[in-house]
Order: sequence, then C-alpha cells, then structure tokens
Amino acid sequence: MMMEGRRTFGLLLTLVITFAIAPLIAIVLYTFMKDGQLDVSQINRMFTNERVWHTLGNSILLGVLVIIGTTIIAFPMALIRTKTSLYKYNWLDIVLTIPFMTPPYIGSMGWILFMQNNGFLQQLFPSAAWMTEAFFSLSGMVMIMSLHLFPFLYLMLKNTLLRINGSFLDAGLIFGRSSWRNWTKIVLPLLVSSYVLGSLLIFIKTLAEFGTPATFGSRIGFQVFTTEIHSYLSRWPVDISMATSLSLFLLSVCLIIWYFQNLIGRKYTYSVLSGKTPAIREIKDKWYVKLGSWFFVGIIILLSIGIPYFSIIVTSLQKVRGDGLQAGNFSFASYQEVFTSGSAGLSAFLNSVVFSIITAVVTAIIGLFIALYIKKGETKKQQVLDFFSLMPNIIPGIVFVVGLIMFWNAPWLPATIYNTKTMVVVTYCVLFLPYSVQYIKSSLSQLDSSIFQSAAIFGRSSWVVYRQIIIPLLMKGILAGMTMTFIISMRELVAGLLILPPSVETGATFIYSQFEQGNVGEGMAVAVITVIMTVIFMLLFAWLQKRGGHADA
Amino acid sequence: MKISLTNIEKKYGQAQALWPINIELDSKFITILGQSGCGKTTLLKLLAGLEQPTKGEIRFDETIIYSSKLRKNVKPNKRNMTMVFQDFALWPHMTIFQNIAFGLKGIVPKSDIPARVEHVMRLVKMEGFEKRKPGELSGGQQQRVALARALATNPKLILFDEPLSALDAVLREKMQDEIMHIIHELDCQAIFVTHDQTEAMAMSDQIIVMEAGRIAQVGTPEEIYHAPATPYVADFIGKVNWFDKGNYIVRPEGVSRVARPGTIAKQAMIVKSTFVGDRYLVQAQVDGKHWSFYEVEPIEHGKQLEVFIDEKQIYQLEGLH
Repeated sequence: MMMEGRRTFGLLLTLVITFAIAPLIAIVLYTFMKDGQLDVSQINRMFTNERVWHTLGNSILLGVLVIIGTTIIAFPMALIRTKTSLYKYNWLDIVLTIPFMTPPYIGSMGWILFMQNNGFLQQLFPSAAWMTEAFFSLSGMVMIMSLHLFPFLYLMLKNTLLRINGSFLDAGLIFGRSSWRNWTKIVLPLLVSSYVLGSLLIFIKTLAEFGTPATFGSRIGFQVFTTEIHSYLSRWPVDISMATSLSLFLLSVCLIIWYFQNLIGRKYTYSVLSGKTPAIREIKDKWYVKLGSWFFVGIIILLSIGIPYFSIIVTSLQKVRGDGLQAGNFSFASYQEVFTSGSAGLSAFLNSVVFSIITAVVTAIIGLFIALYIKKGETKKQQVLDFFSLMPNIIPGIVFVVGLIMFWNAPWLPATIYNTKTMVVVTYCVLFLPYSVQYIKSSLSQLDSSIFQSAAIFGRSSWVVYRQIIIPLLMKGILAGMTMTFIISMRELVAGLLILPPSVETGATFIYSQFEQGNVGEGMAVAVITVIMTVIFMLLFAWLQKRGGHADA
Repeated sequence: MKISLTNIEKKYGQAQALWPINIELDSKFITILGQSGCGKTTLLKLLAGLEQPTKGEIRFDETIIYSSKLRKNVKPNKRNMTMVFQDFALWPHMTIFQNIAFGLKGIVPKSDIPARVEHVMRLVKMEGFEKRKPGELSGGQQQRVALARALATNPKLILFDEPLSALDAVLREKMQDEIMHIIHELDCQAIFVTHDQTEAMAMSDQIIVMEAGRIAQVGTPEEIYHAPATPYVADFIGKVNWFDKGNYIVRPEGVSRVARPGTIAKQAMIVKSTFVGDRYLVQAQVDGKHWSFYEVEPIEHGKQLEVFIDEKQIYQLEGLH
C-alpha cells in the first residue's frame, strides 16, 4: 500500500545512516586510519596499555556482580507478584519501576549523601558509622546499580511466569507427581530463556552505564569503560585516539554479548501455544508467607526509593548541611534560588525541558515513518531498517556520543553542527529513537491487517487514511514513545557532559557539576524537580498503557 | 465409578459462579453443555481439583475427594483422573515422549515407560512422532498427543475442557468419533465440556445442561430433546415451536402439511423456505409465533395454508416461558 516505495526506503535509510551509522564508521576510521593509511598502532597502543585490561576486568566483574544482584532482587519479587496474594496489587508494578526511571546518578548521589561520613545514616544512628566504610566499596556500587536495574529483569520474569501460569501449570498439577518436580521440569526450563535474555541485557546496560560509575565509582577509584572514555576526552591531556579505541572495544564487547543473546534467545524461546489468558485464581497465603512477602517488598522499596529519595529531598531542603537533621535547619531557600529568573539551575533545567520536548517530537515523527515502513519486518529491506533503527539499544550511549563528536568534527564537512544546541538534539534523537520505534511498532502489531485493507478500500486518499485511521489508532504508541523519550532525555548525562557547547548546561550536567563541587543544595533541588517530573510522566505513561489496554479489549 | 456432588458451590468474591449443585453421575460419557460463562468449565475445574469449591462435598464412589466440612482436598494428581485442555497445554520445551512420560514417573516402573508411551501413541494413531516437540505438530496432532498423555496413566476418569473447539469442522467430527471410540474401548469414564449442542448430542450418554451457574437439566440426549425441563433448554437444544397459550411446544418433526388422525390443524403464513441439503426448512407465522418445520418441496413466500400437528409430539413444560 503506502510507505513501501523505494524512495521512502532510500530516504529513511539515508537518515538513519547519516545520524546513527556514520558516527560508528567515524570511530572505526579514526581508530584504524592515519593520514589515509591503514594504521594499527593506535589499537596496539591500547592493547599494550595495562590500564585497559584493568578497565575491562572491572567492567566485566561489575556486570557479572550486577547480574547476581538484580537476580537476588528480581527473582523473589517476580515470584511474590505471581504466586502469592500480592498478585492483585498492580500498583506495586508502577512503584517498582520508579527506581529504573530515576536517573542513576541521582540515585547514587542519594546513597552517597546517606552513607558518607557524617551523612544521614550517621546522624540518625551514630553507632552505624562502621557501615560507611563497608559501603564505599565495590559491593556498595553493585548494590546501587542492582537497585536501579532490577525492575527490568523483574518485569521480564514476571511476564514469563504469568504466561506459563495458565494451563501449562494446570497440566503439571494433574500429571506431575510432586510440586518440586513440576518446578524443576516445567517452570524453570520455561523461565530460562527470558532469564538469560534479561540478564544479558542487564550486563549490557551495566557496561553502558555512566551515571553511577561517575559519581560513586570515582569515589572508590573503580574505573570502567564509560568513565575511562569520558576522562580521556575531558581531562588533560586529552587523548582522542585512546577514547575512540576504547569505544570500539566497548562496542565490540556489547555486540558479542548481543550475538550470544540472540543465539540463546532463538534456541530456547518457545512460542506459547495457548492464546488463552490464564485464569487468575484467588490465592490464600499462610500468614508467614504473606508477612515475608510484604517484608521483602517493603525492604526493596525502602532501599531503592526510600533512602535515595529521602536523601535528595532532605538535602535540597537543608539550610546548612553541616547542621544536620535539626528543626530550624530546613527551608525552601535552594528552591527559591533555582526559581530566581536567570539562575544557572533554572536555565539548565529549562534547557533540558526544551531539548527533551524537541527530541520527543522529532523521534516520534521519524519513528512513526520507520515503524510504518518496517511493519512486521517481512522483507529484507524492512529488516535492515529495523536493525539499524534499534541499534542504539544495544550500543552504549557513550560510544554513539564519541562517534558523533568524531563525525561532526571531520575536516571534510562543509558545515558542522558541532558546538551548537542542534548537536545536543541530534545526539538525543540518535540515542532514543529506538524507544519511539519500538512503542509505535508494538501498537502497530496490535492492529489487524484487515484494518489496513479496509482503509485502502474505503479511504479516498492515502493522506486521509493516515490522518483519520492509522495515526489515531497508533496514537497510544506514539504518546507512550514520546513520554518515554522525554523522561530519558531529561536525565541524559554523559551526552551533555561531552557535547554541550560552552556555557550551556542541562539539568543533568548541572546536578552533576554541583554535586562534584560540593554545592549540593541547589543541585539537589533541581534533582528533586527532575525526579518529580519523571514520576508524573511515568504515571501518565502507565495511565496511557492501561487506557490503551481497555480500548483494545 | 459414581461421581457425587453434594451442595457444591463456587463464589469468586461476591460473584456466584456456581449455585449449590447436587448431582450423581455414573454414565460412561457425560457432557456438560452450556453457553460461555454458564459455569461449565468452573464445574470441570472443581472436579479436577484445579479450583476449590467454596462449599460442599465431592465423592468418587465412596472416596471423599473434597469436603469443606472435613477440610479434605485431594490433590489433582492423586484423584486418578487426567485432563485434556482446550489449548492442549503440551509443555513446549519437552518432546512428545517426555510430555507423555512425565505423568508416568513413579506410577509405572521406569523400564515399562517406553512401551506404555508407544501403546498410547498407537491408540491415538501418532506412532513415530515421539521425538518431535509440540511446536512442530499441527493443531490436530497436538490434540491427539494431549489425548495420549491423558490416557497413559490408565485413569478412571478423563476430563475434556472443550478440546475440539480449536479444530476445524471436518477434523472436529473425526476426533469426536475417535474420542468416543477410545473411551468405549477402555475402562474409564469421560466428562466432556462443550458449548456445541450437536457435539453433546452425538457423543454422550448423559448431558448436563447448565444455565447461569445452575444445572438446568440432566438426562440422556433423547430426554433432553423430547422433554426439555425448562424453556431455556428447549430453545437451546434444536429448533422448537411454541404454542401461543400455555407452555406447550412441538419440535419441527411433529409438524406437517398432511392431515392424519390425531393431529390438530393451524393456519400458517409462509415466511420463507431454505434448502438445507436433504430437504427444505420452512419458516412460518403460526398464531403470531415464529415456527419452523421441514418439507420436501419449497413453499412460496406469503402463502396461507394449514399445517397439522401430531398431538402425541406436543410436550408441556413445567414452569413459565
């Protein structure tokens, strides 16, 4: 029908290649070429540098530990939410995604403020001072990152458990000899694929994470790929070739993991033959199961939301940080400062809002075209475009940022957007396009092909069909993608640190620099505003998803 | 085996899914028939032990399977019963052999398992598929494997939860025959849930018609057709012609254009004739009611004529329409 022509493909592909593929090619060229000649000396320099291997070891260790950490939180949580009477409290899912939505550097700052010497923990319980030293270590970092990333694994496991809850388990109850055997032979094997997929994604996300390593890791001297790349680019002496070599290395590691993930996914994923939604049965728990479940959920909510949010909110309200938690030491001064017109905090925050809105709109439009072109990904061309547009999901943001810097600094370009605000928006669009493509694609996949066929027969022109039928039907996905893009654009840190033009700041870079300079009051006030805004948009997002669900039913 | 339900009821929160049921079942092939949402699957799941009744008692012969008073609830795998699911519910990560063998572990000596699997696979005509996985089979083949799995443990009772609704019409009829055949060959009973009245008529010795969480009637297919207990049953099973006064009905077979002794005459205005293969289904207005009967030749639309009703085939229902 429409959106199928060769011209559409050419246009979309050019767009994706210029903005998403060219930067990656720029990295490769920069690493391997010198004065138009193949040159491996730079990559050799990297491999002979011991620090690189140390960084690789750190990154992999961190990734493995975070997989373990998230498993310890997510697996019991998924069981609690599917097998105990807590299954009916769907609001828990919204609460449990808040940690994932909270910018990771803000979460880390909250924990640092809570645990550091003379932090809130020591003020509240002076006898707990010994915990400070134990906390500022790799295990503390793993804990913070696990508490940030677990919702992702939790939702994957929970959905799989729900899917196999229906007749697969009923059949197990009838034919199985013991519940232990049903567990090991039916539930766990069916859970394996989504667990492996989820944990590999956690691994990639850990490798790609910048916020926590930059705030917490730098305090304990734990360097990973992202922080190393950042420091090669931003600290004197700047070593661009080292940064690009490292980026290429990180990129390769992620692609290898992604390859294995696909391999495993294809081998162990079973299509669930049943189209029946499993009947939800009333579950009556023994009192200790109920108590234990609520206790676990409570602890996780306390650790992942309670403590970091408490720290940043209290800090933003304190007059003098040294005076501690005392009546009379609280005021809205930091907020007043932020909301004074022309203040650095306010203009940084507004910059973020503007960048994020533009990004959300642009990615929604491009994402809509791409999704409409890809449809179900049946032809080669559609698959190619699908792969390219989702690539930023697998590749760490910092790699793209480095690539974009290289590309837009290339001497042969007649004009460049480097060092302008446009560059920021372009970077955000490249990084977050996959979100809008995915949300629109999933709402497209819910439409039956008969809708397109009847539209083709009754629609007077393709423009009318798009405006009156297709776009209204996809609106839910478009809005969901926009909300999500807005939320994550608001929190993007590393792109801002590396590409913002001089004297321009975003909310994220403002919070980060204020925190690093020890001037936390105003920084935390902006953090609180960002977080509140995030939560509001998240609720909006949840509402959109739910409303859409009803309309489809 | 005699299956007895005493005061069995089921509530979901405040909603009454099943009103108290008292019933004894001992036929070989029993069908639970009703529209969707009438509680037929709920009743089946109570028998299977997949759901717990809110109150009441279930016995298989003299053994108490469930009792709310005695707080007794025999687990599904200890009821000597198996089930064929609507969506087949074959575990997708296991081969067909493993699917069937799963229920045999601990019941049959390990060395006998392969022979038993082979035996049931032959019964359902699926020899040679043991090494495949469910995803590689068609819907009809999966259905056969699900049946084989249910037969493997030699259960006293097999429950069928609308097992044929996922199949196309031709395959469905074939499977109906095969299921009936297998059940009658073996020493076991079947309880079959369906919303398809012709399926229920064709297969069962005993039909339970359900309406809105209550049992409307229990009887043989003939009893239910000729002597429906309620207007709902009369309308649900086959075509029915209502008289304008009292609760009298006659099936289309009791109406003809030929006057015979023992018939009463009525004026009819023909609405239309529809060819149904071997004859015509004629629809007409009789005393302001919508009637239907069968004729060899079509009758033209709008024609006024007399029809004759066999008095012996007029049946009076209890209760009000």
